[in-house]
Amino acid sequence: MEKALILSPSLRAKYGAAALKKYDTVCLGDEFCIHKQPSFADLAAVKKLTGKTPVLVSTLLTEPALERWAALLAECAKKEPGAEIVVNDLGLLHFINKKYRGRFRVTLGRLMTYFFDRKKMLAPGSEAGLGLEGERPETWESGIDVTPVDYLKGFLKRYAVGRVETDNEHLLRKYADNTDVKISFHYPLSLMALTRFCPFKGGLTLDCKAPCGERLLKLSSRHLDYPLYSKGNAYFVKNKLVKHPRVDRAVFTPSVNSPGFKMAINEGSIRG
Amino acid sequence: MRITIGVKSSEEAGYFLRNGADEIYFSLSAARGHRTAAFSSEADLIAAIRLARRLRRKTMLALNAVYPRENYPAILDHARRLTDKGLDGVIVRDPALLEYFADHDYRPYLVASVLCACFNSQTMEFYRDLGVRRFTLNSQVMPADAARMMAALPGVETVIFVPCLCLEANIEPYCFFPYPGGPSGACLHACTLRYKCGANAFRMVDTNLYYQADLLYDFHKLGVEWLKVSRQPNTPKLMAEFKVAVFLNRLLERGLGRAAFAASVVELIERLDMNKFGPSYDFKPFPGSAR
Repeated sequence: MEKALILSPSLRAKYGAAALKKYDTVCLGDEFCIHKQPSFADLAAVKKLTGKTPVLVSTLLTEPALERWAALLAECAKKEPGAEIVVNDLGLLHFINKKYRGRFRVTLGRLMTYFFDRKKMLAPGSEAGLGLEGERPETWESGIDVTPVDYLKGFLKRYAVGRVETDNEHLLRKYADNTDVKISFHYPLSLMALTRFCPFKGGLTLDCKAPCGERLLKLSSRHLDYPLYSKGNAYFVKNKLVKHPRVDRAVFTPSVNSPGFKMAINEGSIRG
Repeated sequence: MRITIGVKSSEEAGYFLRNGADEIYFSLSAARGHRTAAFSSEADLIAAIRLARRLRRKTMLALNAVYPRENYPAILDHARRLTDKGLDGVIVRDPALLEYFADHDYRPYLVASVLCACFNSQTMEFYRDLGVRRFTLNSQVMPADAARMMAALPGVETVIFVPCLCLEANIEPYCFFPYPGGPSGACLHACTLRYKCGANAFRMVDTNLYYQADLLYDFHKLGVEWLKVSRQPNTPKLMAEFKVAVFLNRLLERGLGRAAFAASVVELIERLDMNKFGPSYDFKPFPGSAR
């Protein structure tokens, strides 16, 4: 199985060639934050280190962030045709299909696969459900939405999608059992929520130098019977890499534990 | 701005339509939308549509969930029956259902739910190509970005929630925590819990009333057409929220300045103490109702 690493552009200087070459693929960008999207200079720098064109990773895009992606795609179409783009925004997918169909390899990121099929969770403390293997679930995931398979198959074909990504076993099985698309599995963090109200900036910010870095905050509450994790501007639970014959890429998100974190508060936020 | 409010009975519909609502929206419990508050019978729902037509107000059916394929024919029949009775449009989120509607030549006025995650003009264009003509803006879309989105697609209508009544800490549809009133039976919103991070306290970041007031002011200045009050099981609280929406809209229409408007929002919300009505997901009937 191919090993891939998610690399935030702000941290590319931290990783040397040797560290990056431990992985078959570098996925450059961020799936959750508009302030950590790749530039062509980031792409060129990583390519210089690894000798390979990195996979470019997008997130849910605001209008200015989409405009920056449009400029990046224009440059890539000339200098890096065929690059793989992980699309996490329906608008970006629509844009690529209109302007660059066939010029890039399109992967549906985990925000997109969750867009069609949100995961469902049992209530904390619930005794009602059993996990996929009949055991007490660790993260209380009980299923996913029911977007019709024939629609999904048509959608993948219409947008020339070659690969899908997920961090959820139910979604993995849905695509594995019903499509012939390649599948990436993300670990060790499974998405629980996305926000623009970032705990590292104390709220919504229009300009950010990514002080979050790779910091991972472990959160506990007496109301939740599993730990929650905060990384960047998203919340997660832990998951494990699922070994399935159809998963041909394991995507690892690096993190550094940060137990002494004190929340920032900006002028727009009420809590701290 | 015009006010659209979610209702769950013809009794509620009558109250809001006669007190200043320009539009009501709703679901039937058998074909529920994203939220749990819904009409229990189609006959009652049709009575609400008829009343709205008599009062020359609009009605929207919320079909903003993801439904099993086998339910599509029944959902289409339901929507068609209501359209025949005078329904003005349908609130949607699922592109699969939209394509099914188009394939079956059902082309109502369509409104994109907040669950469509329209954060840029290209996503709006995707939905516009499927027939959507009104877009619900997520509260985490900034007014400056919304201005560029709206400029890129002239002619579409936009909706915002009243930020001081409903501004979720996490972005729909990417929040997977169980929620009160949802199918899991959860009794708390994860975004309101107190967490520990090591020895320190941690809360999911939310916004304060000044921020929320500025957001509403800026969206009004931008020309957003619709102000939305979410449906909920707690009718007394819904009535209080409606009054807040009407009052704040009146202040905006009278041209109050930004700072004075923010001060008014803060004073009003703090004085009213909406918590006294209890959680929005607690079922509380229409005052004086037999139910």
